[in-house]
Amino acid sequence: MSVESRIVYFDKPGWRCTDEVLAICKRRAAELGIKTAVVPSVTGYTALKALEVLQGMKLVVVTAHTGYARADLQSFPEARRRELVARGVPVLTAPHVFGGLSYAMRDMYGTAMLGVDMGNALRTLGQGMKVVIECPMAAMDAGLLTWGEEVISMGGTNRGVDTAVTLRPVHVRDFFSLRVNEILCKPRFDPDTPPPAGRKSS
Amino acid sequence: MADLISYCPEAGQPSTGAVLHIVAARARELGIRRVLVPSTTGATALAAADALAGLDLVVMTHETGFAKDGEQEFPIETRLALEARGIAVHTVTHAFGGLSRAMRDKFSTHVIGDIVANTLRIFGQGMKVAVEITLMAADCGAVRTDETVIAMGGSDRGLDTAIVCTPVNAQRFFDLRVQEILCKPQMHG
Repeated sequence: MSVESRIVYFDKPGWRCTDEVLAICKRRAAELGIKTAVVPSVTGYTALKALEVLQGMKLVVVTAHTGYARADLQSFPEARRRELVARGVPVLTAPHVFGGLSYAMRDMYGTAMLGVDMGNALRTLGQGMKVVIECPMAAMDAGLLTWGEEVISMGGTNRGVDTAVTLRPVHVRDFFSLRVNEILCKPRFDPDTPPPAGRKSS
Repeated sequence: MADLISYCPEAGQPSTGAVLHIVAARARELGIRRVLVPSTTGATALAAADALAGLDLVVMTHETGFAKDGEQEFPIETRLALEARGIAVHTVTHAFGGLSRAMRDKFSTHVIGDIVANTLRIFGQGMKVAVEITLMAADCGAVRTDETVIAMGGSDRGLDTAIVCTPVNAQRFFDLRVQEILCKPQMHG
């Protein structure tokens, strides 16, 4: 017997979807009894928004890794990190699961390796879908999530969030065992959406 | 825009009738004319031909030799019967299989096709199949890359997944963007 559920398609990816994504996550978490949400946050804006909307839920915030934009630069402000931690919200800064050595190979030798291929395969469902898969595994490996517990995971495109799913996180080494339970929202990518950056012209 | 997504019973239990019903309804709503269906033995293709009458159905079979060297699992009688109804049945190399499977089978090494396929399987085997047959259909000229289609997928037999997308050729796989997920299996991963 099939079960029908709501899915929301955003006209465009990006930060403008953030408020609606958080509202969708709050509603679905209540319906399913999910108590934990994984939130990616580069500058802290999404993390603070999530803290405001998802009251009563355990949040795990995952930042971009230090040096992502520029050597030694951490874009998540230290004051916001301290504020969140003081309010009981862990803020994880760790290597990107699909980045790391795969990006090193790509950047140095122009060779797409495992992590790049996997990230790009997930991007066929949107940049946010790559992030919703990546962050819970990093949080799992950091010991911030409980094995077997279904969580809500959010992802975005550059800033904010535009995608959300439910899943039971696995460790990175168990990636191929991961299964997405529900897709709550994502951008729709109409045919007239401009092609992603870096697309070959011929 | 809020829509519905259906979660079929656990992967491996085909929900063919329910998937075809969902696809027919969404094709009507979106004005989509062309629908891709994978079919190994012909049973799913015949069910789709009946349920999706009036739509332009494209049937994608297993590649010849998938199960056994030289063997095609899709019965020739079923192929002829479908073609007599104006339904195209295509048999081509699997987009994620091909040389990647050759590497895996001969050298126990997983390369790009296996990695992409296993990554898509985190949404279910049917998602991998729906995406794969879309690339195959584009490469054999059964669909255009400037039209929006619905592609279905399943796990072993029958159907449990359907997506809306604009096809790309396999060599442009990373440009593919799935627009909607109409249904997928429930997961207990």
